Amino acid sequence: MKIIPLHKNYSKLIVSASKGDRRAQHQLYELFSPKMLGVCRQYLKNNDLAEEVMLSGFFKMFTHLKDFKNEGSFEGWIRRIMVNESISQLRKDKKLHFISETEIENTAEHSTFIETELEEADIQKMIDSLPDGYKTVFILYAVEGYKHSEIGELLQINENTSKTQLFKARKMLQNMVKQQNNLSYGTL
Amino acid sequence: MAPYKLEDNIREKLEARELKPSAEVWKKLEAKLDAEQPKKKTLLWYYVAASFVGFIILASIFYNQDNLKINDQIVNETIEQPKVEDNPEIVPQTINKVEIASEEKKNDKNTSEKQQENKQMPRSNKSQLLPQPIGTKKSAVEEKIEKTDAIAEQTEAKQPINFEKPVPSEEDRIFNAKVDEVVASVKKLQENNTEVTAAEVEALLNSAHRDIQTQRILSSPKVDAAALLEDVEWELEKSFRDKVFEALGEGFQKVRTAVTERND
Repeated sequence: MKIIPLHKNYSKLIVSASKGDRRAQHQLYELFSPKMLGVCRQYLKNNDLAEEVMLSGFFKMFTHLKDFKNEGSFEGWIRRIMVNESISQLRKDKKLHFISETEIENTAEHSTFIETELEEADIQKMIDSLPDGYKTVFILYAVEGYKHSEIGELLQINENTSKTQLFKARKMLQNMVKQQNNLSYGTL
Repeated sequence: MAPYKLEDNIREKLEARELKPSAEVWKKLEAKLDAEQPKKKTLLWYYVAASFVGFIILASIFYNQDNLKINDQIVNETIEQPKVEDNPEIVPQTINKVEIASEEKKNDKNTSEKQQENKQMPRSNKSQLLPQPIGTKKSAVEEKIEKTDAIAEQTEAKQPINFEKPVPSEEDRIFNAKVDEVVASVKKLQENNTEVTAAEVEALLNSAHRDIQTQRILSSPKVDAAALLEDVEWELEKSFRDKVFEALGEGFQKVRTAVTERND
């Protein structure tokens, strides 16, 4: 119910905000900042750093708002900006080290099933515990829906490295879930 | 309980997740945007200021051009105005001279009858006239004087009529005085030399005219550029005056020959 009028106002808000209308900018910020902070937080463990990155992402978004053509989804556009901003932050902090590991032959997807739905906080905890390289590839692939080729381009790695990173990330997550399950069973 | 796919679970949860950023973030962002926009604003102001300065420069140039044009106009006017003022002076003068000339021509007509009678007489009988007795010559000279007097009187008599429209000024007075002077000098010459050539009369008239011109320039309260210019122009273009004076001289010659021949 709420989304429809908001969508209608997007284009108007975008036009006004692109002209430097502070109120329109604030409205856009209010609309998207919680989601975008969530996006940034996926890649960055530190909450303050995530906010900082989101801020610079919004700043870039507003200064380039004139470049936005109403072709794709506006949210998708902002999201990409946030992802890029987060990755450049990780790169700046020299956290993205991709050691070309021995190729894993069977990278086929093995879906991990869980008995109980994981909550946000648990998921974040698991994600945060992943090494930055694994984590980044995993989120880009599993959450953002990027292909390995796109991830390779974005992170300046080759596709296979992306695949192995994903594989390893999955393995780790599976282990984590198993551990959690064991723990929870243990407590019962 | 149906098993959940771990990755789907993660995606769903993370995509839907919303984290409320602290209020400071917007303030910082606003400050950053403010810091960005004043740059553009100041740049805009620079453009405005630059264009304003440019406009002022252009305006001053145009204004100066206008001023120059106005100055030109003033100069033109100062040239034209004296001409308008001078014209009534010049016109009566020329009319006067024309009158003199026509007077002469009338004289010509009077004398031409006599001349026709003495057609066989060559014009160069001047030299023949020279050895003639002084007594008869004197009478001839007296005749001449009478004639010139008559001309002078006629011109003098004509002058008031000519100057009826323009109020006679000091310049006219000077002019009249000069005419009298010329006539007197002609008389003197005739008395002394017994022979007055047309060239001599012409020279006298020319010098008299020059005197009048210079006196006009001098008598005017301020140095009139237009009058000076006119003076120079007069020097350059004598054609009309020359014609008048030539006519005067010729007429005088004819009168003289007629008189001498009648005496003969």
